[in-house]
Amino acid sequence: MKSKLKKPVAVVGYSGHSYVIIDILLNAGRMVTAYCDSSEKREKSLSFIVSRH
Amino acid sequence: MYLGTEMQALDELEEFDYFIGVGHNGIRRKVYNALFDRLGNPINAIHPSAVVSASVEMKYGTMISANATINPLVTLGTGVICNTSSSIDHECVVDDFAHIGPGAVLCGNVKVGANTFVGANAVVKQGVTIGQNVTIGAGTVVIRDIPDNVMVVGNPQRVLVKEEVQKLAAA
Repeated sequence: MKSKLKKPVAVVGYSGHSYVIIDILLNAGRMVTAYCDSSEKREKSLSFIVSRH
Repeated sequence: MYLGTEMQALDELEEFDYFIGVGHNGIRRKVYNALFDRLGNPINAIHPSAVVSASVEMKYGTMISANATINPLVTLGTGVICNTSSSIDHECVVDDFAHIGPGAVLCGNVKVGANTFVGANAVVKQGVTIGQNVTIGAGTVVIRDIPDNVMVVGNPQRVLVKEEVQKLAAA
């Protein structure tokens, strides 16, 4: 039987535009738990963005 | 959790649904092309406050922001961005990796080519066809068809000549 649980979401690219994407996905009930970019972002981290939601 | 670059993280990304959070049309397409063979299509991201007709045909990796309205029989390609409060009216066709900016209005039956950017609060009259790789400046009023690969601004629209585009790029 196929699971109905949705996978967590990874966002590819992490800057201003992706903050909006993350907000949309969180508002739509998805879990955003990971991101890809050229380097790890210390400021405005994913946990910071998610925790403010 | 930081996974590295998308190419470093391909194995890990298989455990996730993914979305390409890149605003630049060309770079978004490039990332999509790099990931598609291995990961398949990205999910769509639709804000709950957006109004999207049930008859909209939508591909993958499309972002529909807060308060956007997508009216009946619209077709949205892959990787399209319908930004905050944009309005896309009946039977419009927005091709792959186009970006409809915040507050922009496409009246009915407008066609937007691939990779085209429609700036914030631009208005496109009904029935107009816009080519590929076009940039439409913020607040532009588009009343006539636009060919591929140009930049237009103003009310009514005018195509910028090469020197004007270079001057803007240098500013």
